[in-house]
This record gives sequence, structure tokens and C-alpha cells, in this order.
Amino acid sequence: MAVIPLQHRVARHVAGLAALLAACALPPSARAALRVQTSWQASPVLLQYVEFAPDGAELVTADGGGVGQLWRTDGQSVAVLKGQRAPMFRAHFSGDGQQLVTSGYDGSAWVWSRSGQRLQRLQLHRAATADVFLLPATPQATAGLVSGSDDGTVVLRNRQGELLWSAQFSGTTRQLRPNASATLIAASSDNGQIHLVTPAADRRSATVRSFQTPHGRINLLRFSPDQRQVLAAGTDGTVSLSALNGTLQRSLKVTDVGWARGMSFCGATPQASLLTVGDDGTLRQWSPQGRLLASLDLSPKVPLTAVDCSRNGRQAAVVNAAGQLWLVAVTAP
Amino acid sequence: MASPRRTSLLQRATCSILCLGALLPLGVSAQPVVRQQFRAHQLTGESIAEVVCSDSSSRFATVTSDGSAKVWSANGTLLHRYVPERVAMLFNGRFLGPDDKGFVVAAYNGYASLWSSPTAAPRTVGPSLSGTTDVQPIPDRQRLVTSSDDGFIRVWSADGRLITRIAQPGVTRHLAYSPSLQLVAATQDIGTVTLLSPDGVVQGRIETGQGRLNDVVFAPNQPLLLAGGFDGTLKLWRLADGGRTATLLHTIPAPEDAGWLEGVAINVAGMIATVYDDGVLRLWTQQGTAVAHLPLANHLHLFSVCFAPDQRTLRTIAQDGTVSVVVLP
Repeated sequence: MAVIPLQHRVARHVAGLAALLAACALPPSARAALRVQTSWQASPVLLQYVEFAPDGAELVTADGGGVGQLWRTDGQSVAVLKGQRAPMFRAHFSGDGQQLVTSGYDGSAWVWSRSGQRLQRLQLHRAATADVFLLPATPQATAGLVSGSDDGTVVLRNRQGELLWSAQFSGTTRQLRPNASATLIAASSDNGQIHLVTPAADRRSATVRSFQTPHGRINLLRFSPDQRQVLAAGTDGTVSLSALNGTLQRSLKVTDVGWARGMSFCGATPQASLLTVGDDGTLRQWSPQGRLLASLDLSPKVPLTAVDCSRNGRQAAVVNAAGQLWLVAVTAP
Repeated sequence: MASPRRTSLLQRATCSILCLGALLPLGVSAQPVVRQQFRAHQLTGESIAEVVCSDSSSRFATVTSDGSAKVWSANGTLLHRYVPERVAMLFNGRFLGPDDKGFVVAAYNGYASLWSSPTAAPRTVGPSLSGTTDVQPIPDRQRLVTSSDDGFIRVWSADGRLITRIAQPGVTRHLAYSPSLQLVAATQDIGTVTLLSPDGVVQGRIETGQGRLNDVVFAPNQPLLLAGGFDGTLKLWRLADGGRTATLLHTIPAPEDAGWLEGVAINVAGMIATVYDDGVLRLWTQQGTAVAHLPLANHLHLFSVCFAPDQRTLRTIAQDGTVSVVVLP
């Protein structure tokens, strides 16, 4: 081993201390950061998805073996949600956090209590259910669901399973995302189109406006915090941000190799930073203007498949294709 | 290498055939024998696997989600292994042309990869906008047809030029080609079969009512089309008028608790073989009479089945990559 002269070692320490002091002296707005808090093996197989409960106390994972799992943030398992045909692509909390819904490759959706008790089994499609969300009751509509499928449909139902409205598209309808008020639902087809579905008050009819993104298959959809943009993670390795009229406003290259898999805003303000994941295994943090703020190489050899920020924006859950889950502290600028 | 489960599975299959013998209709004397089982791929958990018989030789191929396709001799000796340059799960594959020298595979990353010979460098065709779910060569027309999660059926020239694409509702999942009828069949997960000319002109569409279709085949010597999947049923359609007319001949009901029908094959004698989620190979007459019932996969899914050109040898592949060779009398 090479011996480093004492003066060089002192100089190195001084330089390090100076850098640390300089960092501390920076205004808080300049100190975006990502730091791993904890990590655990959440599945023996590919994790498809992760989502925080609205209260941030628990999170749910969905895996390629058809198993959903509820976790506390300390890594303790709360409940296992299984019985549907694998793979399970998605598991989502209801808006109030009291229930969950999981997708089945057998065309089903199962509804669960927050404690993991199965409440309802619905057969929605005669092909794989790719995504499904619970929709809240409104003055003119009872609580319901929206689902997308390999059969290419987007379907609105009430909680009894009655079909209220559906639309047929070409290719898989792979991703769905209701906006915060569930008055607008974004759906993606594997040909790269996004369909913005505006249900009528009673959800028995809807209008659809479709536009083409720069992507082919889309791996995740989200709305921006102000609900005025729709974000799509594509197999071209980019995340696009489009206005609701379909105008492409920004495109971020979020992975050095392969697919962009997911993104999540950390917070609900216009200043919220955006986290992205992709096949290169790196978690990246972006400013609202699209400037790279920080990155964390979590999984250099295995694709990161999903990311979700807690509602307060201070913590992110990230999962990979080997079943690993990380909780990451997020410092926003 | 033989599977450790070989003995028990062989015993179980033989028992099942003998037990069923008493139930067979008079005049039906099928006594299939499980000749060989071996682990062609080491697959675990959720997987995709297809077995493809050559039309002209005793060779067969296995294509799986481990990203490789393997060509085997009749006795299970590995002859060639194909791995695309862009590594991805493979959905299906086919021999190219009558001499079996070439091979083509369809991959999750949207590409088809084509080898003109085992030693040739692969050529890619595509990409689709999403996963390429199947690929079907049209050797007599120097064409290639692909299907995709993006809903498109695409027709490509031999040099990889896109000739046409036809959008379909939902996923277009499986393809078949009948040289005698000059028809391509493409299934959609909405439960339809689209019939096209080799140039990609839609000739007809069958609304099967079966939900997602996991396999579609043409009979080798009759204008028959067979398709099945989500609901476990198998439907036989007689085609006429260049694919513009399809008449439902029979519906073979879903066996109890068998799950999805995953694969189907039919030979020149009209013997139909089906495989299901329950790991059982079933044989049927063309009229839908059950002939044999062979548990092959120890309750793992059986994903695919094909007849060798001798019309007597069946090959299946299971969820764990085990190939079973079954011989009819």
C-alpha cells in the first residue's frame, strides 16, 4: 500500500473540511439530496410497483409472482395480498387510504381493506387487467373503479361491478392515472398514445381526447402537482411532460440504458422536485425546470422498476427487478 | 439431462391413460406413451415457453423468457442456441423455410431477430412500439409477419422493410399461417381472430367470444382453424371463401379446473392436442370426444404443444422449461 506523506493527508482533510463548510454555507435551496435510509428484500421476484399510503405510514408493493404486500416503513410486513393470477402489475390505495385494489393477470381486480382483508373480487376483463384504480363517490356517482387491460379497453364500473362506460383502443391499455379529484383519467396505449378521459358526473358517459407521445409503450403515467401536465415514462428512456392539450413541454432523458420505468413528484407544490427511475438502476432528482439535482446509483446491475414519493415529499420508495426495496430520504431544494 | 421428476411423471401419465381407457368410446384406441422428459431451460417462477416443431424434420425448438431459443434433435440433443444481440425475454419463434437452417424469434423489447443459419449473425426486424408477441415467416412469399402488444400486425419484406401495418383492438398476441389457404391468422386479446392475406389485407374477422386467445393453429390438410385461451374452451372453425366466411363446427368445453387453454395442435388425422394451466395434455377427436388425459407437468402450467411431421410425436413444454415427448400409437 502506498504511504501518503503526512502533509498530504493534512491537506486532504483540510480540503474535505473546506468543502463541507462550503456546502453548509450554501443556501438551503441549493442542497437537493438523496440518501438511503433503509432497504429490504420485499419479494423473491421482480417488483412491478410500489406506492405509499396517503398517510405515509405504510406502502404497498406488487410483484411478478402475483403477490401484493403491505409494509410498514420499518420494513415489517403488515399483510400479504395474494390469490390472483400472476403477474400483479399494480396495487393502489384508495384516495382516503382505507382500501386497496390489486390487478390480476386473469382479468380480475381484488379490493382489500387496509389491514389486508379481501373485501371484494371483481372480474373486469377477459384478458389481463393491466391497471385499476378505485374511484371515490361523488354527489352523482357511487364509488367505482376504472380499469385498463390487454384487451385494449378502458372501463368505468361502479363497485358492484356494473359496467358504466368503456372505450376500445388499439394495443394494451397499460397505464391509468386519475387526477387528484378523479375528474380526469389518463390512460396509455402501447402505441404511445395517451387518452384523457373525462367522465360525466354519473360516470355513465365520458369524453376522450387522445394524443401521441414521443414514446412507444408507456411504463407509468402521472399528473404534475398542479394537475396541468401529464407525465409519461417511455421505453425510449425518457420521461415526457405534456400539457393537457397534448403539447409536449419537456422531455427528460432519465436513464443511460433501456427504458424509463417511473417517476414521482416529491410534494404538491409547483416547486416539488421530480424523481425518476429506469433500467440503469439510478434514482435521479430533477428540478421543476428539468435540471438534474442529484442522483443515487441504487441498483447498477438490475433495473429500477418503480418510484413513489410520500405525500409530504420527504421520503421515496424505490423498487427493482430483483425484489429489493429502498426507502430514500429526499431533500428538496 | 433427465428431469428428477421423470419417473413419477411417467408413472402418473401411464396410470392416467390406463384409467381413462375404460372411459374411451369404442373404436378409439389411442394409447399415447410418454417417451422422454428433459429440462430444456431452467425456468423459475412466472415464465413464458413455447415449443415449435419443424414442418419438415424431426427437429424442434424451444423458445422461452430466459432470452434464448434452442434447437434440438429428435432425441433431445441440443443442436443450436440462439440469443439475440439485444437481450430480452422471448415470446415465440419459428423455423425459417423448409430446410430448418434458419430461425426467427419475437422478443419483449419489440424486435424480431432472424438468423439465416446457425452460424450467421442475427438480423433484427422492427422495432414495434411495444413487445413483439409473435413472428410468422411466410416462406413462399419471402415475408415475415409480426404481432405486438401495441396492437399492430406488421408485414415485413425479407430484407426487413415494413410493407404494411394493420392496427387492431387490444394486444395482437398469436400468429399462424396456412400455405394452402394463403391465410395468416392473428389473435387479439379481445377474443377476435383476424384473417389476412400474406400481403396484410384483412380477409375476415372471427368474433370467438372466448376472451384472450393463447393459441391459434390451422389444420394441415383441412380448411380448419382452432383457437382457445382465457375461458378454457377450444373452438373449431371451418373457413371458406378465402377466409371471409368462418363457420363454428365444434366447441370443446373447458375441462373442469383446467384453467386457461395454453396451446393447441392438430395433425393430419384430425387428432387434436391441447395443454392447460393444470399441466395436463389432453387429446380429442375433431368432434370433441376426449381420447386421452396425460398429467405431464406436476400441476405446473403446460404452455405449448406441437406435432412433429410424423404426425405421431407430440412435444410439450412446461412452465419450468421441461419438454415432454409423447408418442401416439
